[in-house]
Amino acid sequence: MIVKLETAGQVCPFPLVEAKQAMAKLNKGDGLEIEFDCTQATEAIPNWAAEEGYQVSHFEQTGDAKWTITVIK
Amino acid sequence: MLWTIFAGGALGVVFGFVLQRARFCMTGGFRDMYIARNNRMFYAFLIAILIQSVGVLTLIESGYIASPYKDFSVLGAMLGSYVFGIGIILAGGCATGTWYRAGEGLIGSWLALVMYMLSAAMMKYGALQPLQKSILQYGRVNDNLAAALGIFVGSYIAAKGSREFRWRLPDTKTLANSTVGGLLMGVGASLAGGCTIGNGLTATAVMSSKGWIALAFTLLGVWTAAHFIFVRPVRRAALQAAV
Repeated sequence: MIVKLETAGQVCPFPLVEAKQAMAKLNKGDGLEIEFDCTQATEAIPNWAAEEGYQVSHFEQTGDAKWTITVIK
Repeated sequence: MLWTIFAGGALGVVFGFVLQRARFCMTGGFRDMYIARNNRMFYAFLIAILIQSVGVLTLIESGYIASPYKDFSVLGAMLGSYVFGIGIILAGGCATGTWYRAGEGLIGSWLALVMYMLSAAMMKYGALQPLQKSILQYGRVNDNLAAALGIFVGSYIAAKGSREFRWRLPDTKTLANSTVGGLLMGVGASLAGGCTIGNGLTATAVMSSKGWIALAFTLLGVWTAAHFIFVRPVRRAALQAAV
């Protein structure tokens, strides 16, 4: 199951905080698709995924200052 | 005078460009020491103090500049830095960080800056200061403002060039946080007589006790705010998920 999380408009590190909260509710194997527009999160979210050992299945810049990343628990 | 304004501005542009590309954020660095047990940025900060220390102390010893940190209020530095630390967490970045985010088109950061200036101005004109001192400060504000505007321009160039510029409207929560954060930053920086860079980076480099006291209390403020904003909600969510 892939859950979508929209965080556009939030500044760093709130997208990451929301991602962590959403992730806590997911089961192993579920994915979280995070939409964000905070530049600093392009580093913070992948770093978090790497530290937790989560797989990043998709990471793309979708427009001017817009990104989407999918992290698998 | 004109030359220092120009030099400040030019340096600011380069600085802003680098900050934007590096996603540099000292507030994030301080915060992650607590919420992620990650001291990487703090070590980089200490190295920056060390390098600057060599340069500044050489200038002081050779008589080019005088150490500006002879008199200061210990209580002001402690209380002000603590409030400033809380403010930068809410605003999502310290003064420098907020300037370069404004260059990326974040409207919340613009709001934080306006509030910062507003409350700093209120603090400054509320307190009676000798005329000479305020004139000296006026000169300093000019160089600082040129550098700050430079950061903004440099960050804009970097963000635009890498397709990372867009006017971004904050949601209501971010709007409220930016407003309160900016106000607290102004009050804190005025009480402490400096911010992350002025006290934390420059005053520490001349081995002034003011700088180290301010740095310690900024960290405490950051961690206090980080606890209530980041650590507690996440812990609560994890508990709810477990039930």
